[in-house]
Amino acid sequence: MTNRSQLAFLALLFLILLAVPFMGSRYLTELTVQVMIFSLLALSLNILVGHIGLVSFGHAAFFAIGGYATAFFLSRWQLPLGIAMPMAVLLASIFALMIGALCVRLKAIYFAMLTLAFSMLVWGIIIKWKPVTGGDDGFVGIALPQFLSSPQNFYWFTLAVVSISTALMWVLSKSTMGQIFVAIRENETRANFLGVNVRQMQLIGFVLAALFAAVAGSLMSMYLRGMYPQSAFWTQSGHIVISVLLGGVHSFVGPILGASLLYLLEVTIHQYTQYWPLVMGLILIIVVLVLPEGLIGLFRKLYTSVRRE
Amino acid sequence: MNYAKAMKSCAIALGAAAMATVAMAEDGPIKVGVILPMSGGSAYVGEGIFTGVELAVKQVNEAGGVLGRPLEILLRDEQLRPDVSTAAMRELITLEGVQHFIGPATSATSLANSQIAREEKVVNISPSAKTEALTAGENLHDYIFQLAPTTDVDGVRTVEVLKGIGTESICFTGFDYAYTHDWFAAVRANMGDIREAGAFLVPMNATDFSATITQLLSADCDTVIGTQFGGSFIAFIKQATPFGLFDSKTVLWGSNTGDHAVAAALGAELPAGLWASAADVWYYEGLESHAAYQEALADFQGRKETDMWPITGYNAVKFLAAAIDTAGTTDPTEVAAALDGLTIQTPLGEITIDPETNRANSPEFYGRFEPQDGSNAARMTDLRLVR
Repeated sequence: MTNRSQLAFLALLFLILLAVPFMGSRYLTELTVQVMIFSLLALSLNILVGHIGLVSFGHAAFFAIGGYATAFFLSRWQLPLGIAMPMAVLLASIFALMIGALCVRLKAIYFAMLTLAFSMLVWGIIIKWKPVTGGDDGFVGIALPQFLSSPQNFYWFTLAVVSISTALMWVLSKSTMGQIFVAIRENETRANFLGVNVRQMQLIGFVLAALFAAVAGSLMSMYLRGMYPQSAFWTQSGHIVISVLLGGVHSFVGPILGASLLYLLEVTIHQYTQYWPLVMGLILIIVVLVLPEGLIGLFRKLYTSVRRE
Repeated sequence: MNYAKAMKSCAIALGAAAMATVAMAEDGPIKVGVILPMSGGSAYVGEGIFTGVELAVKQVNEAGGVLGRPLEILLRDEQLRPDVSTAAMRELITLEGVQHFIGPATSATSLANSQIAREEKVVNISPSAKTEALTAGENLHDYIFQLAPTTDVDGVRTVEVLKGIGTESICFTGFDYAYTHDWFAAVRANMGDIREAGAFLVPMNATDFSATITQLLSADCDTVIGTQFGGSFIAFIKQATPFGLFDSKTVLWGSNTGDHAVAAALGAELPAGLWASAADVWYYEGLESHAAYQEALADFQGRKETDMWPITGYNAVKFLAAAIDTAGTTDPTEVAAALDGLTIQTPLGEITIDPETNRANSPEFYGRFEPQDGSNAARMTDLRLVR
């Protein structure tokens, strides 16, 4: 997809999202909130996977840190949302800086395994640190600001935060830094010879991806009125990776499509059967064998063949 | 027909349609949202509870329903994930208009859903979660009701049984997680003269217990109490038997290992003399109401040797039906108020929900496993129904 068609897609999507609360269905409103949060999470991972070419299996750690920190700051320290949320995102970014500094020294599968290890470390701390995190019972009962207690208001808040985050990621992807990220993905050695400090750029990308994941985690904790250890577990990281692969890693809007479709499928299939994991396994097989470039790749092929005809 | 008349006709038609919709909703089935683990390692728990729910709903509907309306079950899989569990609850509330819920099954998912129940003002009956936190402190609210005995209650009952079997000193072992810590804390708080000789915890889902078994054998205690469950419990049993742990010490296990499903799974490998607890055992013969329930359950499942989980779902439906009946309405606030202090007859006798704590005084069985002639599955003997 060209930049123009992707921008047109995002603009159309934004208009549709503006209309959702007026459709009169609270279910649809609530569902869209979750889809927006998961889309933001997938977009954040795509900074690493799609732009830099680093596959992280520990991205859920920053989602969880953002969520738990927001829960803690709002409920225990009773900070206003305007302070609690940025502080939570900052905390996740600091963690990302420390973890990333070690991870970006490694390549490919070693990078993926180390991120997975750190993610499980975060999960372990969440399980053990019961006075702060609630242990395996989770952090329950977040004190939300009054203005966010209605589903409609929470929807507008989520839409605003997700839209701003998406816009920032779009600007990043088109900036010089974004182009350097792509250069590293395409040929790390050549980028190095061109004077790019590859490790430093990878670390910056790692922290930025974690920052937006923390924003998604923060929103999720407020939506769920709690945060739970499963949010940091490796399966959650795997879920995000599948979302990105399903949508297509080499386009900006791909992860949005992937995350939305995956979540909507999950919700729909759950209403009829408990065999969702089987369906997700099939989706993964199809993506790997038939759709290596995801849904975006499929649309591109269809568009090309239609134009030829 | 002029414009005014046409508008008037339309308004009357719309009003009639709206009234008919309301009337249909009031006459239609009462929807009950059931959220349980139906996939993964805990599916057998969810399936068991759901069997009890189905049986009770069948009985209620065959008896004419509640307020003349049948109960309708809407089942969702919680997957042991609080985010999935709460999403399912929100979906049932906003899409299906459900106002009464049974489940989820585990502590973490129950805590999460209870927050939604509080916010949405819908009735939430927890059939099996044991965590104190569900109905303690700020988490207690008007719409959450906990039927399973909490870990505090389990602690008191465990000590009662330990004293009854002459325990003088105990060692603790189990997974290093919330249930273990809460249960052991409750035992410690009540054990009085019984001496603690050490705690030997293992990481969650560990399967190699050789070091722990050696520590337990050399510890100066006459009784061991533990919490491993599922495959890890089986692994512990298989590893501890050759070391002679069950011959040299009295062993009492939590985590509902008295369930017949556990005995059936372990068969001859279940060591004789192991003390355990269960919400129900099919071979208990002390109450006619229990015999009648077991007969109905056996018919429903097509097997006589049933597991313990169905009774938890069964009692949850019976409480809900009785509360709606008492309230005379399905309005969740009224139903929740009716549940406060409500007493119903269950297969194991009268159970009451405490209006202060919203907890039921559900009894549990404690007993000692012994092999049975003609059966591969051991049964608990010296059976005591602890209230």
